[in-house]
Amino acid sequence: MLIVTNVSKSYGKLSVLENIDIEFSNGVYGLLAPNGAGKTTLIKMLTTLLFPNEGEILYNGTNIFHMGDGYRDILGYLPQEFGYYKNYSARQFLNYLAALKGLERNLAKVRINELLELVGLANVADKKMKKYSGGMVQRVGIAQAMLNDPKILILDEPTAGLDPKERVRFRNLLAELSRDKIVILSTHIVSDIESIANEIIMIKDKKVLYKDSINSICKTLEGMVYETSIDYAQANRFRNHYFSLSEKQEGDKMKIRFISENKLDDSWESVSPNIEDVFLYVYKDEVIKEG
Amino acid sequence: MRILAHELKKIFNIKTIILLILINIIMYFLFTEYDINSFTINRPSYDIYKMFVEMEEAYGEFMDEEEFQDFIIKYEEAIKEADAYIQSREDFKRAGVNNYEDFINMDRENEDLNQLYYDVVFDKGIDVFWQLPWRKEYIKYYENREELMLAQAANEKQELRVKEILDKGLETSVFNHAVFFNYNSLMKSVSTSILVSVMFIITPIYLRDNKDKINYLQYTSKIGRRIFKKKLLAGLLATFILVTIQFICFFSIYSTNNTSMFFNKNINSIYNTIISWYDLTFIHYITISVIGTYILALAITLISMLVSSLGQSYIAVIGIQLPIGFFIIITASRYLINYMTSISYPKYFLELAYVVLILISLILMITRWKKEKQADILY
Ligand SMILES: Nc1ncnc2c1ncn2[C@@H]1O[C@H](COP(=O)(O)OP(=O)(O)OP(=O)(O)O)[C@@H](O)[C@H]1O
Ligand SMILES: [Mg+2]
Repeated sequence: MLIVTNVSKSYGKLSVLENIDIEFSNGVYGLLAPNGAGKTTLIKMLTTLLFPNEGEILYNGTNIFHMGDGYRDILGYLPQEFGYYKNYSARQFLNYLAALKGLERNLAKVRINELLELVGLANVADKKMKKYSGGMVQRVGIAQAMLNDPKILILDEPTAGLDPKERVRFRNLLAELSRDKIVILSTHIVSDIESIANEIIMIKDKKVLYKDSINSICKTLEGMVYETSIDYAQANRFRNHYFSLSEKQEGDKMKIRFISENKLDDSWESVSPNIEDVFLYVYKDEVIKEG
Repeated sequence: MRILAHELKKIFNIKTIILLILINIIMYFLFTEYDINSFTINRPSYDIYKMFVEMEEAYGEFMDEEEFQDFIIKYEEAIKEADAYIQSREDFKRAGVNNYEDFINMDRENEDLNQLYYDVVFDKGIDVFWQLPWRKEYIKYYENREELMLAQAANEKQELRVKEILDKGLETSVFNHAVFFNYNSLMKSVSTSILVSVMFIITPIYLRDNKDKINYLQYTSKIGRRIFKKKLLAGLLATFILVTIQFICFFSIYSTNNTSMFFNKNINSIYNTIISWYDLTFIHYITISVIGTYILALAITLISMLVSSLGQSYIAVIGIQLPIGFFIIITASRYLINYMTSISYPKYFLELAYVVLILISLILMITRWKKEKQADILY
């Protein structure tokens, strides 16, 4: 069990997280929040790169900073910006990290071969990494995080830079890897975690807004998400009244998915909310700001 | 050990090694080569060298009064040799120059006589004519050695030291300025090459990893922040290896100057240009300068690593590194490697300077490590 209790973190005067309480047990957790919400900040504390200003992070009851080696030994981490030596091959780089992770030499050799196979890089394992595509580099990143067969696997935006095909591949890979582990992955791309996360954690205004299963989170919008078809001419007026979630063209009409407290029109069709709806609704201010 | 080996491999990667060799070749031809090749060409220093080789063979470590009488005889023989040479030439006879005495008193305002002088000394380069003025000079030195030595003392402490040397008779040591000056000049350029090379290989150590955020992976792996110390150790080790290799190369080249017969001669000779606070032989002096260079190299390693660990880009780090490096190298080659232990500096100046340098760089790096242990890794 990994427990974050009452953790706050600020950069100088800029407070990013306040009084965060989260419990992680085995399973896949999706850390879902828009840019700048503090996902990386939380992750860097969980990986001992940052020290909380307040509060504690405990693994099986012991402060992770006191555990030191013992904690890092069971940790696998893919940083948001994955750094590597361009002149190293994937195998050389994994070898180096295996040494840092204290893996015994022969074990490392076997493990590296397994992982290269698993992430589909076996045939290019001895090529210099500067020749790799972004997706290939990211797969090396995932492989290195798995080297020490971690009990806690933390991936910061692992799908960034991957094309749709690679994303699917990554999802399948993760589903396979995530047994008997705590897996935490951050993203602001809803579809990445929709199918694989057991729980979603949403951070808003420096606090944890939701930490729940996808179903439960979606329930918060139960009976509020509707779809209807309107004329293009009406679109603007409609948007001013209701929060639009998505819009798509359908013949000469526009099909709009939106939020409303009550069903005010018979032509509206009540639909079951998905996690993307919640995300858009929860962060509507931020999303608008960004857009 | 494994991690250390990995870090060393990172320091000595192919690109770095190739550039290192290039840097050293350039530095060699720019600064060092002259003092190696000119040593057996330059006059009169090479004549002096040859004269001392002869003296060393005849007199051994010191030249006592009896041996000095022999030295005077040698001088007279040399004059005879010069006389014979002059008498062998018709043009001198015609000019009315019949012996060496006449030769040095020639009126060189006279174009023809000047021409003759040039022919003997420069065009033909007859050895004995180069040696003779120095033989004469060195006889005077020997006769007036107490006075000359004492004249070099500028204060009471220096005077005490000079008296001590005179008491021990060290000033009659068969050692000379030509060899000593050449060695110091070489050491200046060699230590500069060494320090530049060290800065070159050490500067990327932390920077390379921090800039590309490989430190995230390092600090979250089992070894954690102790990798900082491993890199430190790897850096010091790399410097040690590099300096050793460079010294091996240098001394193999230096051996062609053929000065080993002077290794056991005291440097506080009236014929040398240093008065040392200590009774050092030439090999002692060489050893001290080698140790000094090692210390300077290790200090510059620590300082380079400090700068490396603080910066985020090569531009920034090199910007800080260059002035620091220049300062250390210039100060070192002027005061810390050149004419070491000379009485022209206060007695414990050298020891103190080295201790301060070691302490400063050590304290800086230890402080840095303590901070790194508990710092937020923001970048
Ligand atoms: N090293 C730093 N110094 C100062 N402020 C920082 C630093 N790192 C992050 N911040 C600020 O903290 C806030 C949270 O940043 P963080 O990187 O944790 O967000 P994030 O959710 O990971 O965003 P993204 O999706 O863009 O990766 C942002 O406002 C950011 O500007
Ligand atoms: Mg982030």
